[in-house]
Amino acid sequence: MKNWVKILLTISSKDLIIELKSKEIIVTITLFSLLVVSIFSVTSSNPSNLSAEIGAGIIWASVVFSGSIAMSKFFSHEEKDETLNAILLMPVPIELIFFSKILSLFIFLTISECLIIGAFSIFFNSNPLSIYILTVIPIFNLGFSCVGTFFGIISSKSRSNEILLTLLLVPIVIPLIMFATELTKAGLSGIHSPNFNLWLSLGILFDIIFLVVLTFLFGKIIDQ
Amino acid sequence: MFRNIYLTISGAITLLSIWMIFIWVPTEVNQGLVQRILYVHVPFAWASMVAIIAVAITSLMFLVTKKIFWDNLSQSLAEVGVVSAIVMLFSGIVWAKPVWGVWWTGEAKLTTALILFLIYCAYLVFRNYFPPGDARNRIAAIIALIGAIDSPIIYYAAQIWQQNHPQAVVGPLATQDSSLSSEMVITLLTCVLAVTLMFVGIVWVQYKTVSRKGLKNVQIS
Repeated sequence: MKNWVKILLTISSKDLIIELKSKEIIVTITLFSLLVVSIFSVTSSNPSNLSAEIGAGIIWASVVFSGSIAMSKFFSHEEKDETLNAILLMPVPIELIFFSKILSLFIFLTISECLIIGAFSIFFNSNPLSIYILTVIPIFNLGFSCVGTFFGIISSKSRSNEILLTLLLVPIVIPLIMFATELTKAGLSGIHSPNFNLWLSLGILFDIIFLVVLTFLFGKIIDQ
Repeated sequence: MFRNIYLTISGAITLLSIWMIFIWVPTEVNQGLVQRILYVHVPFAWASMVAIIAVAITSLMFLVTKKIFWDNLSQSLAEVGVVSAIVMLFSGIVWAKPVWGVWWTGEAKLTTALILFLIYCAYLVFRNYFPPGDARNRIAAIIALIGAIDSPIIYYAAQIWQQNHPQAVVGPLATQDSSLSSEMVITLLTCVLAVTLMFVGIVWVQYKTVSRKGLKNVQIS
C-alpha cells in the first residue's frame, strides 16, 4: 500500500516537475482564465452588481474551458514525447497510472480555480470564497479530472485532439457543472441552498460511479 | 420483395398519419393548432430514445462478441438517432414558445435530451476523427456505454434543477389519466407507428451503407 502511494506520487511529481520546467500549462491556463473572466467583466455593464446565478455560471464556465485546454495540452505532450507509452511499460498496476494522471490534473485544476476565483473577486468586486465553494472544488476536480484523463488519453491519439476532448468531456460532466454552479450560487448569494444534501450526494455519486467505471475501462482502452 | 412490401406499408402509414394530423384529428381546445406539433414531436422523441437505448445495447454486444455487425448497427442507430433528436428538439422548441412562453427552459427532460444529443454527436465526431480500425470501434463502443451510464445522472441532476414538462398521459409511463380525446390518441399512436417504421427502414439502409464503407476500407488497406 505504502509502495503504491509512492509510485502514485512519483508519476505525478514527474508531471509537475516537467510543468515547473516548461511552465506551458500554467501560463496557458493563467492567461486563458484571466481572458475569460475579463471578457465577462468588460461585457457586463455593472460588474459589482452581478447576480449570483450569472456569477456562478461565469466561474464554472471559465473553469471548464481553461481546464479542458490544460488537459489537451497535458495529453498532447504525453503523446508527442511518448511518455505515456514509457510509463505503461513500468511493472506497476495500470490503475495506478490512471490515478496518478488524475492527481496531476487535480492539481492543475486547483491552480486554475484559484486564479479564476482571484480574478473574479477583483473584476466583479465580490468574494466567492465560502464553505460551499470549498466543498465543491475537491468533488468537482476529482470527477472532472477522472473523466478528463480518460477522454484525454483517447483523444490524444486522434486528429484535432483539442476539439475532440472538449466535445467528449463537456456533455459527460454536465451534472458536475450543475452541481458546482448551484452550490456556488448559494455561496455567492449567501442564501442557503434548500437542496444542498441532494446536490452533494449527486456530486459524490458522480465521482464514485465514474471513478469505478473508468478505472475498469481504462485498462481496456490502453490494451488498444 | 420484402423491401418493397416494407416501403409500401411504411409509406402508406406515413401518408395516413399526415392526413390524420392535418385533416382528421380535432383541434385541442386549450393549445389550439400548436398542439398538432406534438404528433411530430412525441414520435421523434420516442425514436431518439429507442436509438439511444439501442446504441448502448449494440455497443455492449460489440464489446462482448467482437462482431463487426454490432458496431456497424450501433453507428447506423446513432446517426439516425441524432437526426431524430434534432427533429425532436426543433419541434419541441417551436411548440414551447406559444404554450410555455419561452423557447427553452432548464427542465429535466429537455436538459437530458439535449445533453444526450450532444453526447451522441460527440460519439459520431469521434468515429470520424479517430483512425479507422478495431481500436476505434472498441473505444466508440465504450463512449456509447459511458453516455448510457451518464444519462440517469443527468436526468437526476436536471430534475433537482427544475420541473416543468407535461407528464406522460399515454403509454406505459403515463402517470395520470389521459385528457386527450380518442381521435388524438389514435392519431398519436399512428404517428408513432409511422415514425418507428420509417426509423427502422432508415437504420436498415444506413446499416448497409456503413457495412459497405467498412468493407471498402478493409479492401483498400
